[in-house]
Amino acid sequence: MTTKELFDPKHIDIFIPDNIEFISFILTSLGYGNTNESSEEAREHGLDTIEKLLELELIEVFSWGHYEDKLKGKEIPLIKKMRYMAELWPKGAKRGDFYEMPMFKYKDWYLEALERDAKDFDTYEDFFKKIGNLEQWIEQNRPKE
Amino acid sequence: MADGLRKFHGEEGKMMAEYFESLISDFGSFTTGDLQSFYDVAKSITESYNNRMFDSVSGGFIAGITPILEIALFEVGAPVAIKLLKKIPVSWVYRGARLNNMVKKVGLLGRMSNSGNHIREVVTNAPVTKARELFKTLTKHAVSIKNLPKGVVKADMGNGNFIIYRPITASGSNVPATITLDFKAAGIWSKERHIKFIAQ
Repeated sequence: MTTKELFDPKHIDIFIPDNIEFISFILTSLGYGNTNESSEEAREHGLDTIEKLLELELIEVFSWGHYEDKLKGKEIPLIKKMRYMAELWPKGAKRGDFYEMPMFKYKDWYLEALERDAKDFDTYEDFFKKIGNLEQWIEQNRPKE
Repeated sequence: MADGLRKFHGEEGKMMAEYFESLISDFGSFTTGDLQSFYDVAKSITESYNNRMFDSVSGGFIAGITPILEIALFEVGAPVAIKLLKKIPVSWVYRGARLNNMVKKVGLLGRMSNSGNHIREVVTNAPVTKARELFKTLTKHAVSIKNLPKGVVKADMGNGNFIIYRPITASGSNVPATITLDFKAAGIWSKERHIKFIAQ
């Protein structure tokens, strides 16, 4: 997945903090529903989206689901993270299964910047519309090395 | 009030009457304020039944439950809230139409969050206790309940519907507890509905 594809306005919901907590929420934000969320296309799209968000260091793993005891607190390279993720997301997984899989959270700097800059807007969606270029806003607010 | 409900309002009136009566033995532990809040709500529910307000609309019985949920979450302290929620009988939350109607009402509690209307914020005292108790009430007729890492509890409500409780929310903002109502399969909402319990 390219960064441009991640920031596709059709899926802008993915940048709302609550919408990435569980894999089922990610799939909802990507437009999948009851009829196609267990498809291979949904799984690949979901995994690609998670990989891109992790690669851009926008999100982190909040819980490893069934691997929590084994992986909690460990520094894991992205490639290995995605291997675990694929193991934990079996093909054909259904809605109820998603709640037992890894959970995610946005990085604190993103949550803080969003809370600060979007406080005068009714919704985050309104804020995203107003700023126009979300990718640029993110880069401006990302902590400097 | 209970007698009138039982006599004149059929099966649903009887269910409400039994609920009121089940609480009488607990009144000694209510504060005067809590007791007054409960009395006001019970009186208002009875009057609404008498005025046929709850009989004339689909899911009317559930409309009568909403004020009970509201005083439990917003007005009384945690000990009384727990009693009010615990005493809600399983018959009020049978899977299917009754639970679906209840879930629709719960999904409208509180205020809309800035994440959108699918996320509601309930500002209350004792948010974790009240959220947990509401979860237990809604899932009394669950097919199965499973404890998962990070305090997540998943209740399978049948036919692809789920209610999820978690004591901390990964989305940040220090939300102490969240209940997710995933009733997409029942066609109630197109997105999962989240009720965030925030400390006053």
